[in-house]
Amino acid sequence: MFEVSRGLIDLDMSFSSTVENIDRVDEEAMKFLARMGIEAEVFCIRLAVREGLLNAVNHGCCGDPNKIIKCGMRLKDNAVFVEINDGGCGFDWAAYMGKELKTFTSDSGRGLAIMRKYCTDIEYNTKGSRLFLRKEIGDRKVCANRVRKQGDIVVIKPGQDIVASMAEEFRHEIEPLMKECPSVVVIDLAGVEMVDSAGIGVLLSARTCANDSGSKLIVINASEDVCGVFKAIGLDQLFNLLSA
Amino acid sequence: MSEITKDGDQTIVKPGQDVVAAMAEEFKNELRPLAKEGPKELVIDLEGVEMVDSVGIGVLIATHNSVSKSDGKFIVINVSKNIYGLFKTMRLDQHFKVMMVEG
Repeated sequence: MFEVSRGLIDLDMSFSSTVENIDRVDEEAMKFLARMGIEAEVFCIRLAVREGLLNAVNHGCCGDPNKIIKCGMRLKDNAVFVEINDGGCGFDWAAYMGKELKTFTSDSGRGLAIMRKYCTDIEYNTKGSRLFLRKEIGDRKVCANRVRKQGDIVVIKPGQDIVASMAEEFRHEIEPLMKECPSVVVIDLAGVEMVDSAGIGVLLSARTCANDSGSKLIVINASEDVCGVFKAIGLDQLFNLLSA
Repeated sequence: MSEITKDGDQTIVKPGQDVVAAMAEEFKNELRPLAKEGPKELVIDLEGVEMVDSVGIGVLIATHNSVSKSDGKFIVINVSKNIYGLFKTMRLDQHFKVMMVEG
């Protein structure tokens, strides 16, 4: 069994406790991190999740494939949070925590050391059935650079017409970053020749998000035609429009 | 299935996939008889491998232990930057030669 639910800034999975399913979680995690525009920390997060899951499969669920493991990942406060719940008797972390590996030649017992090295924070509940990992991340690139975050500034640069066929996907790329309350949001319309009503809808919802979070919104490089559309429907009053 | 090349006293094993829990048992079964043959040099070629987890590390160490018993050399080559970092962190490089992928 393997169930997955992919949210805007989160990922939730439930699955039978097998090592094969660790590979599937890893695949989903990779796609999730790519969607979130995370690049530099991908290896660390993937490795730590694998080690957490190995402990859950081998210790928490004692290798019983009838047991179910839940794994959730979410992006919040410039960090990726991972929770692994094995619903079993738990992993006896206390027996390993703080202990260095006894000898090099031992061929097991490295999982916890790896997680501690590769995560910002790691915490088990007392029972050892729930593991929390947190990994801080740096600047992110989102979806082929259509949305970029540089420090506290979000730059939205579609580089293509903002029209119905791409509007929904574009909205999904923008929303998670707007939720992080950047101080400035720049919408760069270079290369945009056409904005239709669906596109305007996306830009308006970005404006609403910016207003809600107190971010400053600037629109730059709008072509003469696009400026004309904005003016015709009074959008130039709503957006801080700097023309090309 | 790993690609296995024998050239004189040297045996090269190329798994060609991530060395992780799900494949570890099979990989171990491939390596065990090769290590027992007592090669002068057993080379693990990690070209194309992007991930090695603690179980994979365990297999490498078990193989290293076995090859060392017959005074053979154990070398891991074409290691990606991330995996090289992991091997250094786990101090594997102090026990056998680990060579990073070129370029």
